Amino acid sequence: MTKNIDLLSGMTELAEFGKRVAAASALLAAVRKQDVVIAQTPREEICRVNGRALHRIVSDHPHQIPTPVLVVYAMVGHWAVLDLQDDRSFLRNLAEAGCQVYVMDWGHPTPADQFDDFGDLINIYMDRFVEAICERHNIPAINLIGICQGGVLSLCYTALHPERIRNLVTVVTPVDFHADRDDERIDSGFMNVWTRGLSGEDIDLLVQTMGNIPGEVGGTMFSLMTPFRTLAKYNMTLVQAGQDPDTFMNFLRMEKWLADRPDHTGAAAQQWLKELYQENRLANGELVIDGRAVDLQAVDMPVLNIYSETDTIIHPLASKAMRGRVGSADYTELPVSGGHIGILVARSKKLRDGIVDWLVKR
Amino acid sequence: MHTNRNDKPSRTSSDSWPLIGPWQAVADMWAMWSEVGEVVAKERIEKTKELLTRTWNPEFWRTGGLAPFLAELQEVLSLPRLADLPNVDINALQPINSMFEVVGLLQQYLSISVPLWMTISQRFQAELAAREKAGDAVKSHGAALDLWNSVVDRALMEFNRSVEFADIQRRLLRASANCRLQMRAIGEQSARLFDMPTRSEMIDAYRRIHDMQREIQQLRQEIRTLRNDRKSNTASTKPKTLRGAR
Repeated sequence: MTKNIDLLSGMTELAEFGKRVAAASALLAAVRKQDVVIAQTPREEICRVNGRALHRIVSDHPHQIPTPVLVVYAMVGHWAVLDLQDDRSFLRNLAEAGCQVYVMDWGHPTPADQFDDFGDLINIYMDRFVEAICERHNIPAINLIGICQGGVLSLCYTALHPERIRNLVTVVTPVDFHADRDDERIDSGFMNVWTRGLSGEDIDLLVQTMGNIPGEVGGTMFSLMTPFRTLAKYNMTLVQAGQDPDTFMNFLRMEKWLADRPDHTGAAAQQWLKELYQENRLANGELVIDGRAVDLQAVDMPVLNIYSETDTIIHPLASKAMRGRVGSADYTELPVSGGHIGILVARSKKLRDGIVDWLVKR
Repeated sequence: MHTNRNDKPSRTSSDSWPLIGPWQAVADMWAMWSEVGEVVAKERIEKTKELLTRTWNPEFWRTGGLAPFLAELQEVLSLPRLADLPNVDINALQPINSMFEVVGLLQQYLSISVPLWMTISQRFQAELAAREKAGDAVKSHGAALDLWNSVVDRALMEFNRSVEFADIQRRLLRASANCRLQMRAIGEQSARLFDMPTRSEMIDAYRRIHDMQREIQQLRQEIRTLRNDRKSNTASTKPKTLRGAR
């Protein structure tokens, strides 16, 4: 290598890099904690149950779709990623397109919430919020958009309460948690591999020890999944982002969201990891919530299933496994391009348009 | 027995050797203590020595032999439980054992992850050579760094999905969890000492609160359903009443 690269060009490169570091440092030096804000779209709190809240996105745009939409995000991350900034807001985009948008906030579970399982999340919190929207609009059913883990919860909710849901949209939602075995990729499905490497007793021990699963555990998993990105985040990505103020603020907003990882309630995490990741009960039709079997055939309303071929967290096959399992005669698949989080924070409105166009027709 | 008044009392050996009695008693006591020493030496010290000798072997630490070692040590040094005295055993060493186990596993993790960096370097060198041979030599430090990063990324991803990694992760998880549970047990003893709620008591309270919350939500739901039913019943009966009034 040394015979191909001379010392002088190396020093020039180093100086150039130093200049870039200085530029990024100058931006960083001027930004304070309070300058980095997320979830700025106006909203009002409609209902609150045990630290979980239902927010309505306040918007003056005419309602193109009369049936309100409830967006349910995962528990493993805060819903604020759906409203990262004005021009990268999935919720704002939906509202601007004429949807009446509600979003579910799982809050930050405390040790007192550690026994909340899928039954609590679905049959108490989700059901209470869906009912609140129905009462508010005097309607029997709403449109439900579930994202990632929120998609799984939405799917289960719909199977257990089909009369409450008019249309179901799932975004990057796993159904078959073992589908990655049919298409093993080194950069995808790490969570599946890692969880299957544990025994059920290990997960029980983890929950027994920790109560709730700390958000940091999830963060570590994602770091292990993309080791280089983790290693290079603050010495390369940050420097690169620091060359442009807008990109730099985007980076900091995403960091703020990542830093705010809520804990996952222990009992639900136990079900999530054991019954879904390890035992694949949803796809096998063996998932039981509060004594009732989750029968996906009961999901007979129109379903839009959105997935990404380049999703490294939820394998596209895991999402596509919904086809044939749900009872809907009006089932649509919509592939989108981008990463698992990238599709939600993209400036492009393709995801929004895909959903709204589909909802308008129904 | 008749005694002649004129007879002088016979002299015993203790009379002639007044210290012999205490001397004998002390000698007997020391003989007994010596026996105790022998029993302790045979039953405890020799076995402890045997056990402690193991700790000088690096293999002992490498293979995580501390847990069985402490269990054996506890067995060797254990005493019967006495009802009105504090329990004297080495249970308190358990958290230390767990900590050592975690440290040992971290060393094992290092021992399998350090060679990985040698593999990464070898792959990097091989990739550089291959590119040069193909006429596509790396021409700048930046390009070399990009290549290095991509080699590191792939190697780490492979490692994170390997059987070795999964195994050490699983063992680390178990050891850390056990360590935390044992620390919690010590914390609980301290909490009881200061009359403070323990973690177990808090968990019990959380469970009860959770069950009550569930019950409350179910009751609320039932009330809502009843109210709605009543509303719909009223709505369906009203027109009849009005018609009747007309």
